[in-house]
Amino acid sequence: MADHSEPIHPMVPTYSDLVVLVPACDGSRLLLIEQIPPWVAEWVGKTPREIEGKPINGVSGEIAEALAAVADDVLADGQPIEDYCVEFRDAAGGERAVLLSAQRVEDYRLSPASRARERANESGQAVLIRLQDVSESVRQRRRSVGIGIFHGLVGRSKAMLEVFYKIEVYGPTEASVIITGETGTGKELVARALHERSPRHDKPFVAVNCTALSEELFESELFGHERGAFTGALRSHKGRFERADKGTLFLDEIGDMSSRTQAKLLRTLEQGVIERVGGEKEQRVDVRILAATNMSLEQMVAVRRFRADLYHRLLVFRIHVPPLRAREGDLPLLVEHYLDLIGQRYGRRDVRLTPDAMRLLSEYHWPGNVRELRNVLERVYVETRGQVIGRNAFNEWIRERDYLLAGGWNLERLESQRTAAPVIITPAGSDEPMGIAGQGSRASDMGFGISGSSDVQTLSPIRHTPYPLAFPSQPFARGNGSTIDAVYSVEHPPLRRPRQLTEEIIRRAFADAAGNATHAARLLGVHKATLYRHMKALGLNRKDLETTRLSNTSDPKTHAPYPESQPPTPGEPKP
Amino acid sequence: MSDEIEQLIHSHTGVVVVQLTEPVLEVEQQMEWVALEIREWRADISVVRAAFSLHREWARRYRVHGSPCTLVFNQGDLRLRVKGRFGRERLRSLLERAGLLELR
Repeated sequence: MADHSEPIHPMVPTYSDLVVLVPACDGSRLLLIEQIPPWVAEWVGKTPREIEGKPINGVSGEIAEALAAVADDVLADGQPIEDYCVEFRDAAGGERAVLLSAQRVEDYRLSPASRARERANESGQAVLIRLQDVSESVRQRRRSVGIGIFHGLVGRSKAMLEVFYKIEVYGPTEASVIITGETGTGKELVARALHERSPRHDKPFVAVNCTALSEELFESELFGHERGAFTGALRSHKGRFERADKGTLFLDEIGDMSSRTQAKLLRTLEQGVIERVGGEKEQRVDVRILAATNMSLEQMVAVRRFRADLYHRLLVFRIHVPPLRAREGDLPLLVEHYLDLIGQRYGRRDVRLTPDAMRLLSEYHWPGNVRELRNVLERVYVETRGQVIGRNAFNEWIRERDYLLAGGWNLERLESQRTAAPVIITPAGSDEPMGIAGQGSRASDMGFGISGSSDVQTLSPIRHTPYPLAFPSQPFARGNGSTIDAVYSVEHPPLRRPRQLTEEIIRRAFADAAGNATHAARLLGVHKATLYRHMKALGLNRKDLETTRLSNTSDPKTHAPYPESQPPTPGEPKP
Repeated sequence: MSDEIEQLIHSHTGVVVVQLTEPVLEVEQQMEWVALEIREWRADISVVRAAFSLHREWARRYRVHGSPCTLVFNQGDLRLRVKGRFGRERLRSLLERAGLLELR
C-alpha cells in the first residue's frame, strides 16, 4: 500500500487525519477527493492513490457516504460540524467509529501533485474533514452499557433504570436534587453522575458530609472563615461553597445539619451569596446544590428538626436510590463487577462465586446495601486462595451477622452482647434460650423481654422461631413480609454452640434429617465430627438415633425449634 | 420501528424536532439540553429524542449517518439538519433563520 503520510510536495504537507474534498468545476456538484489519509482509504478497501481525484460519491462504503453527506451540508450552508460520530463497518467487516469535525474554507489551493486538478478549480472552496478514530472507546463504552454500568452505578433492575433515567433528565438542569436512600446505596455516586451529566461537568464537584464536623467547624468548612475569626483560625480559609463556585456542591446527610446552619444555607441558596465566618463581606457564588439523606425529611420537617422553607427550596427533584434487596436481578451483576474491581486491585483475575454462594448472598437482606456487599466480597476474596469462592467462605461472616439482630448494626451493641455472654443462663432442660444477667435495658434493645426481677433477670425472647434469621425484619429475610419465604431463606443455619447439643436435640435433629447424620449435623449447624463426638459423650449411637426417627415422627416436639445461636462464652468449659 | 417518528412528523401541525443520539457517546450527553430547552422557545414544538442505532435506516433517508443529529420538520417537511455538537445560540439562530421561531 502506498504511504501518503509523507508530504506530496515540500510546501504542502498532508495531515494524517484530514480528508480534503473540493467541488468539481464542471457543474456536476460532485465532490472530489483531494486528499485522504491511508488509514481512512483502507476503510473503504482502497489506497489513497486509487481514490484521490475521484468523486467521493463514487466510492462505496458507509464511511464514504457519510463523508459525502457531511461535505454537502458544510458546503451548502457554511456551518461547521463538530464531533459528529459515525459508526460503520469497514471493508474488512470490522466495526468502526469515527468522530468527524468539518468546516468549509473559501480560498483553498490545490496541492501541486493533486489528482483532482483536472476536474477542480486551482483555488476556491473546499471542505476539510478531520477524523478521529474512536472505535476502541466506543466499544468500551458499549460494553459498559451492555453490562449495566452507568456513571459507576451498576444495575439493570427496573428500579435502577428508573434512577438512571432520572439522572439523565435532571442532570442537565440547574435545579437542586434531593437524593434519598438507605446507607450504602450509592447516593454520592448518583450525585456525581448528576454533576457529570450537567453543563457544570468540567467545573468542581465538592462533597461535604454534614455529620462529620461540629456545628462551628461545619459552618467554617461550608462558608469559609477569615483569619482570626476564632481561636486557631491562623489563616483565612476558603469554604466548600467557594470551592464549588460554578460547579456542584453535594451536601451528604443533610438531615443532620444544625438549625443555625440550615438558616445560613437557606439564605445562601436564596440570595446566592455567602459570608465567611468572622467576615464582613458578602461574596457571590454560583453553585448547584445536590443533597442526600437517609432519613425522611418530611418527618423531620413535621417535628421541626428541618426547616420547611429549606426543604421546599431544595426539593425540586427527588431521586430515591433503591436498597439492594429491592433491586431484583442486580446482585449477580454487582458481584461480577466488584470481583473484577477487587481482582484488578489484588492481581488475581477471574475469581467467581459458586452458584450456592450466589444463592446465599441473594437470600440476605443487605441492610448495608452495596457498600456491605463490596466489603464482604473483598473479605472473602482475600481469605480465599483459589479462583472459586464457595458458600463456606462466607461462614464466618454469617456468624457475625447472626450476632447482630435487625437494626443493630453497631459495634457497641455487638460488644454489649459479648460482655453479656459470660452470664448467660440457660434454663435447665429447656430449649428456650437464654437469660442474660444484669443487662435489662440493653437486652431489651436486642429483642428480649424481661421476665424476672432482682439482680439477675431472666429474659426470654419476645420472638422465638426455629429459624431466627428468617424474620423479615432481620437481615437474611427477603423483606416481603412473608415468613414462609423467610423460612426458605435459611437452609443451613449457622454453627450452633456445641454445648447446647443435648440428647433430646440430637435425637430431634436425626428425626428431622430422616436418620442422615450429615443432614442432622447441618440442621444443628455443627460439623459432623462434632456431632459424633457429642453422640459418643452422651452414649448415643447412630442406629438408636435412626430408630428415634421412626418413633418420634408423631411427636409434636419434633417440630419444636432448635436452640438459638448465641455468642461464644469466653472461659466456658468445652463439653 | 421508525414508523412512530414518521407518523408524528406528518401528523403534527407544528414543528417537530427529532434528536438522534447515542447514549454511549460522551459528546451526546452534552447535547441533552436540546430536548429540555427547545420547548421553551416555541409552544407548538414537539421534541422527539431517539437512539440513532434504532433508527439508522430511517435516518439515512435524510442523509444522516451518525449522531448526534438534530432534524427539524415543519408540516412534514425537513427544514433543518444539524449534525454534531452545537450550542444553544447556534440552534436558536438556525431556527430563527429558517423562520421556525417566529411565534415568539
